[in-house]
This record gives sequence, structure tokens and C-alpha cells, in this order.
Amino acid sequence: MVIDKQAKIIFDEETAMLDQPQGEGREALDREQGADEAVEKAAERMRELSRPETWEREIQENLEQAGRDLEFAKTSLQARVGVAEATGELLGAKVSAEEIAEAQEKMQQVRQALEKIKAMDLRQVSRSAAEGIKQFVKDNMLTLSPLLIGPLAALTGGSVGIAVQASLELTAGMYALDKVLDRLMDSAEEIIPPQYFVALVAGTTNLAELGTSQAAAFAGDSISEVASTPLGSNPTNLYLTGFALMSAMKKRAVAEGIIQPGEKLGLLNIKKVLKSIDWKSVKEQGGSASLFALDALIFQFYVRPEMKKANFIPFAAWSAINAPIMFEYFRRTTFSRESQVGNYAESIGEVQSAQLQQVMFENQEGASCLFELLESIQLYKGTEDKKERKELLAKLRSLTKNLQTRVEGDGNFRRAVQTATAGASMEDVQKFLKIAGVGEKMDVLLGVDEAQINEATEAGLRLGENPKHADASRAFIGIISVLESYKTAKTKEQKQKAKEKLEQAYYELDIEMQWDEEFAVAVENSLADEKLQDVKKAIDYLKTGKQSDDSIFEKIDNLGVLQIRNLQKFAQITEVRSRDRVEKIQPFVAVMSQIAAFRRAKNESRKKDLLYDIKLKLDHLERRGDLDEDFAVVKEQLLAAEEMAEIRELIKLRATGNELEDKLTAGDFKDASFALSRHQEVHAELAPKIGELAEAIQTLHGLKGEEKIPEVERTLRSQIKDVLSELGKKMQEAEIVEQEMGKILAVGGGEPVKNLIEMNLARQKKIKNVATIAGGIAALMGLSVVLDKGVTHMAESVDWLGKGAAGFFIMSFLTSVGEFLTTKKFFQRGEDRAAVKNIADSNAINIGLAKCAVASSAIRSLFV
Amino acid sequence: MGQFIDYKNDEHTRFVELLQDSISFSAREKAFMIIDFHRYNQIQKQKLVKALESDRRLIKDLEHEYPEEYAQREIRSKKAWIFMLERLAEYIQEQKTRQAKKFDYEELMKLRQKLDQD
Repeated sequence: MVIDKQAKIIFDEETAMLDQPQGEGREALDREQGADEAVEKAAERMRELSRPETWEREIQENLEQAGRDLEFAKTSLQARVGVAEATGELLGAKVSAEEIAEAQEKMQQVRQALEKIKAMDLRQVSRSAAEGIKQFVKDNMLTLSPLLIGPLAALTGGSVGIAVQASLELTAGMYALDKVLDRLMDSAEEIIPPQYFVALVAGTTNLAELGTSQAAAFAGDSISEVASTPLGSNPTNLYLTGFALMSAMKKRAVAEGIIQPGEKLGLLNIKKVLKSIDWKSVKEQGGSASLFALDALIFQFYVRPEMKKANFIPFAAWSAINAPIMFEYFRRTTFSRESQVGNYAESIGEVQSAQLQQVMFENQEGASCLFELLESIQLYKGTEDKKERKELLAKLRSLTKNLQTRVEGDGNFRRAVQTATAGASMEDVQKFLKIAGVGEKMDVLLGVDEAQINEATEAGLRLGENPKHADASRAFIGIISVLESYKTAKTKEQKQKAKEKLEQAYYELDIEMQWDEEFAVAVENSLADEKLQDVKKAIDYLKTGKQSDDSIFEKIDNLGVLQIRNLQKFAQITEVRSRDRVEKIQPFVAVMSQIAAFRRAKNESRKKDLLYDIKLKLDHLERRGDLDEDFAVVKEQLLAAEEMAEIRELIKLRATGNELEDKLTAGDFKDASFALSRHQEVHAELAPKIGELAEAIQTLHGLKGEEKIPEVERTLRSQIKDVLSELGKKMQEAEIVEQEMGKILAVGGGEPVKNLIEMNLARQKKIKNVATIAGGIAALMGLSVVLDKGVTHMAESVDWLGKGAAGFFIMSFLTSVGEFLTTKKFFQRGEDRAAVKNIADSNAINIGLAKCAVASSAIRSLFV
Repeated sequence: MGQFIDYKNDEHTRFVELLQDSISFSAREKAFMIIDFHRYNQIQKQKLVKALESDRRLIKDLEHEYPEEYAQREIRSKKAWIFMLERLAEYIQEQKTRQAKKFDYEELMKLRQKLDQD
């Protein structure tokens, strides 16, 4: 029988359709096949890209293609140029000869760039690119491992479609979690104390477990089963800690400087890394984590079977016993400052301790309480004996209290400690002092020492020598004498009374200062003395009830009459100087614009005109420099910069003909042009902002108590913030702007503006960090849910995952992947205590979640 | 297209031929060139045809050198030409309607003036 061609096609298609499953089954099969192909293709592409030959071939092909495209583009451009030259327009719009020339020049640049790429050693480039891919796969081995689920499901006869979905959820989730944790940890460092941060992250990564267990409880799962989800993770978390440490090993070695990035981590280096670990903290926190794991096992093997038999007494006993344990655990490790003292003391290294002792010895004799404390810290660190450690810890606490009292009472000592513990190398000491309460809640009123009180009294007497200020000076001396009685007050009541008297005394002084500006200036001048620093701080505190360095607006409130007056003068001077500077920079800008026009010009006669003009302008620069001394100074300053080398050259060549022309054609004037525009920006745009800022500060400062109108205050505040942000942002953008603004602000009276800009930058950084933390925590929540879904899909797709040791291992690893990655990150950053605390916290939270799930299930049974 | 191009004139016909075959211009550019052609003076027209001829020579060289790329671009260019002719036809139609409306309006105004005078 002869079958015609068309009929054969139809016949074959129909047969093929009959062979395919229909409806949902068919769609699922299609999806599985498509997904299978996608995974295979991705894996194949990854394999290809790890070979240098692939890179070399593909780059070569792309370059050749780019070369061909460029040939066609060149012809096309020439044709357009021909049309524009013939008609003077293109697309109905006028086209100038300069625009055509510019287009041709750009084309030439692209061609040159392409030639440069072609001239590169492609083999070398390809090798490094392929190495890069290999390295990426190596570095992210763990994150990319879920991609194996697809082939695994295919091999074991599971559902490939769901497996691919699971692999994508897990890979993307793990990769994103890795990045989010990095950002989160960087931002949290300065804002949240580490113990809170660890608890917060542990709580967030456990959210998925909270959701699952609560869902199971409300869905009506058996009351004995609902607690299994959270508690099941507890034993797993323990071995995950070891696994996290192993996988963090290489990055940790790089961070510790044991190996260089890219270097292999040998056995010897592994030993070094292991040596660098703070095993004491690991053991301590690991002990708590193990306790909570044991707690979970007790539930699993004893309490749960009893619950199945409807015997709830073991559950009640279990809950009652572990509730105080958990409470005490969180109190000690997270919430109690006192308990944290020991942990923080242990992080202080011997080098830091020795350095601090040396600096303090040089600066301050009699700092025995600090030396004793440092000694005890080292003893505490060095002993393993539990009893001894307990005694030493008690001693540490009492010593920190002594230090606190000493710091509060002795201004000189406080300053010496502040100086000695400043800087990044003393970070651990700073953290310890903060947690120990030293330096915090420091009473500035107590910081004034005997010598300063005497000095201030003398200053008051000197103020009184002027007959006009005789009465007013008594108010000043009054504050100082009450300050002395405040210092000597012993009971709380005495202190309170002295403080009230101080406030009254300040009120009187304030009235005198408002009444007589001359007196106010004299007082401020006296307080500007270095020796009276603490008296000034105490008076500032009395003025606003807050220490002046807390916020921008408190700082503004605390500005004195003298500072405000100086600020006003400073703003006026800045305005005049900047206007003058703009005028003096103008001739340089004019030269630059003519140079740009010269370089663009294609017409010879136009070029000649411009060359003549440039010569004239360069001559004018020199002549004006000779005649006008101020201009000569500005000129010298401008031309001294490295970026202006080409302009200096032009001035030298201005008398020549061809040489100047050659220089103009061949020279690179980008740097000079950039530098000049930054100078212009500073003096024409930013400097006037200082005037605006000073005016707003003055007005805000002038608003007193009852005169304050909320709307006006709000507007002024936002105006100040805006200007400060703009100035800070611009200063960070270019070094020239920072330097020039630095010069402007260094003029007398400009200090408050400089301080406010710095404070605003620090404030913005803090805001950014807080935003990152909030976003990061939200992202962690989302990711923990995505990962949980991924695990569920994985269990659905690979049949044998529910059974056997390997299945158990993989599943338990993936259910706790959040905790694992967090712990790994902490290990990589050398924060060993935090790394294991994360696991202990997570285990403790899991116990809490289990109890909540049982409670929810019980509540449900009351109603259903 | 007859509205803009005089097909009895050899130069005009040559211009359209060259433009149609060119792969250097976009459809939009070609449309503008056709619409504006009648506005140009004789010298401009001659120069324009010359520029297109020079483009054709250069493209011929590229055709020999990179036949595959040329073929792809030629297909794209042909499609673009057809698309451009369609748009041009729409444009002409629109112009005619506008013109007709304008005449109607002018006649109306004249009529009103006449009535006013009466």
C-alpha cells in the first residue's frame, strides 16, 4: 500500500499522541522531562566552562563576531555621514560637522578597544576564567550540592520534576542565606551585642520549625507527635557543629593568616587552625547544646511513648524540670550582664592586656585596680579548675565595680583609660569594659576632679574682677561649689538634693548669660581651657540634661554663645572667600572649555582661532598672576596639584606654535578638567550651603523653651539634616572635595560644622546598619521557609530519603541548614563562642517550640 | 510614495533603488529620507545619490567578505523596507485626511465671512 507523504505525517503524529499520557499525567511528564533536560544542560555547561579551551574558543568566536559587526557598523556610519554631509540633516534634524566627527572618533575608539582585546593573550585569559569557574564550584560546593538531587531522583526512580524544584529551592536558599548572613554579621557588629545577635539569628532560623510544629498542632496531629519536628533537630545540631567547623576550616585559615587565599590547606595548617580555636568557649557552649540534645532524646524515647499511652505526667515533669534550666541558660549566656563579664574577659588577649598595662603605667600611676583586674583576667583564662574559676569570676565582678567607681570619680583616670583603650586593636577590651558597665552611665557631674574645681573657682574669681560681671560671676562660682558638694554627697538623698541645687545654680547662670552676652562669652572663653574640660562637660550636661555627644541636635543645643557668634562670622567669611575663589578659578575653567572646543574642532580655520584664543587666555593667567597677588596664590595652589600637570605644561608652551598645538591635540586633560570642576563645585555650590547651615543652626539654637514652635523646629531640623547629608556625601565622593572642604572648615569657627558633618555620617551609617539588620532578619525568615519547603520537596522526590542512615543524615542536615550555615560563618570569622552558642540557643529554642506545639495541640483538643 | 518621489525622473528612481537595497539605514531613517527628498535642491540630491552609491560599493565588498552576516542583514533590511512602506502609506493617508479637514475648515471660514458680509 502506498501512503502519501502528508497522510504519513498526520498518521505518525496521531500515533505519537496516542502514545503519550493525557491530562495532568502528561503535563507532569513533560515538566519532568523539561526539568531533567534543564539540569543536565546546566551541569553540562558548568563542565564546559571549567575547560580553558571552551573559554578560548568562545571568546575567539565572540571577538570575531564583534569584528564583523564593527565592519558593518563602520559602513553604516559612513553612509549616514554621507547623507548628513549631502543634506545637512539626519532623521529630519540638523547635524553639525562636529557631531559627525565626534561619532567617527567614538567609532575609532571602539575599534581600538577591540584591537587591544584581540592582542591579549587569550590562552592565559581563558585559563584564568576556567580556573575561576572551578574555584567558584569548589568554594560553593556545599551550596551547589542540592543540584545533585535531580540526577539522584532520576537514578533512584523518584520524581525528577519535584526534585528539580527542591534542588533549586535549596541551592538558591542556601546561597542567599550565605550572602545574607555575611551582610547581617557585618552590620550587626557595631549595633547589637554579640550574645543578643546570636540568639536573634538562632530564633529566626528556627521560625520554619515554629511554623511546621504549630501547623501540625492545629491540623490535628497526635499530641505526642507535634513536638517531634523541633526536637528532632537537637541531636543533629551537635554533629553539624563539627561539620560546620570542618567546612569553615579553609576560610578560617585565610582569616587567621595561616595560608594565603587560593593556597592549599595541608594537614599542618589544619593543626594550626585547630590550635587557633577557643576550645574553652566551644566546650562550655557545646556542653549546653549537648544538655539540650539529651533533653530532646529523653522526650523522644521516654516522654513521647508515655504520652502515646495518655500518660502526661512525664511530660509535665519534663517541662517543669527544663523550664528553669532554659531560663537560667538564657539569663547567663544572653541577658545577664554580670554573667557575661567572664565570657568577655576571656576574649581579651595577653598582648592586649600587656599593651594596656604598659600604656597605663606610662600615663597614670596608681591605676592599681585596673592592673589587678587585668591580672585576674589572665588567671581566670589560664585555669580549668571549676572552683577556682568561680572564685576568680566573683573577684572579677568586684574588681570591675572598683574600676567603675574609680572611673566615675576620677576624671583624669577616666580620660587615661579612654585613651589607652581607644583603637581597633583594643576592641575586645572595649567590649569588656562596656559589658562590665565601666564608662557607661558615667556621671559627668562626678568626673570633675579637685584640681579642676580649684581651677574653675579661680576662673570665676577672675570673671568677677570685671566690675560689670561681679554679680554674674557669683552664679558661676555657685555652680562650682555645688558641684563639689555633689561629689562629696554619700547617700542617694544627698545626691538628689545636690543635683536639684545644681540645676537651680545653672538656671541662675543661664539667666545671667542670656542677659549679658559679654559675660556669656567670657564664661565660654574660660571653659575653653583644656584644664576645665570636665567642668565644661558638667555645665553642658546641666544645660540640656544630656551629654553633648549623643546626637546632632543636642550638640547644637549645647553650642555656646561664643561658638554661635564664631559660626556666624565663619559663614560670612566663607561666603566672601568662596565668591572670590569662584571668580579666580573662572579663567582656568575658560581655558579648559576652549581646550575642549579645540580638540573637538575639525575645521582648520576654527582650530587656528581657538589656538590663538587659548594662547591669549594662558597669557592672561600669567599676567594676572604677576599683577594680582591673591590670584597668584590661588593659581599656585591650583597648579600645584598633580592633576593639573598638563595645564602647567601648556603655560610653559604658550609662546610656542606647533608644540602647543601638539600638546593640545595629544595631551590628556581629563584629570585637570575633573579637578577644576570639583574646585568649582566646592566654592560655587557647597560653600554657600555652609551659610545656609549656619543660619539654620543659629535660628534653631535661638529657639528657647516656650518660644519653640514645633513646625518651625521640624523644618529647621530637616533643613540642617539635609545640608549635612549633602555635604557629607559630596565630601566622600571625591578626595579633592574632601581636602578643599577640610581647608574651608579648618578656619576658626568652622569646627562645629565639621563635627556635625562627621556625626551625621556616623548617624547615617548606623541607620544603614539598622536597616540592613531589619532587612536581613526578614530575609532570614523568608529563606528559612524556602529551605524548609525545599527539604519537604526533596523528601517527596527521592523515595529512599525517609529510610536508612544516609537518608537520615541528609535529611537532618538539610532541616538544620540555617543553623549550620550560621555556625560555619561564625567559625570562619573566628567567633568560636558565638558559633557554638548559636547551636545551644537553637536547641534551647527548639525545646520551647516543642512545648508550645504541645500546648497548641492541647488547646485545639479542648475545642475540637 | 509617488507623492514624494517623481518616478519619471531617473535620479529619483535611482535614489529609491539605492535606498531600498541599502542595509546601512534603519527603516525610520529611510522613511525620513523619502519624505524629505523633494525638499532638497539639485546639488543636495546629487550628493545624496552619490553617498548611497558609495555605500553600495562598500556593502558589496562586505558581502564578499562576510556572506553569512550580509545575508542576515539583507533579510532584516527587506522586512524593514516593507514595514516602512506600510507606515509610509498610513502617513500619506493621514496627511490627506488632515489636508481635507484643513480645506473644509478654510471653506467654512470663507463661507462664514461671506455670510457676515451679507
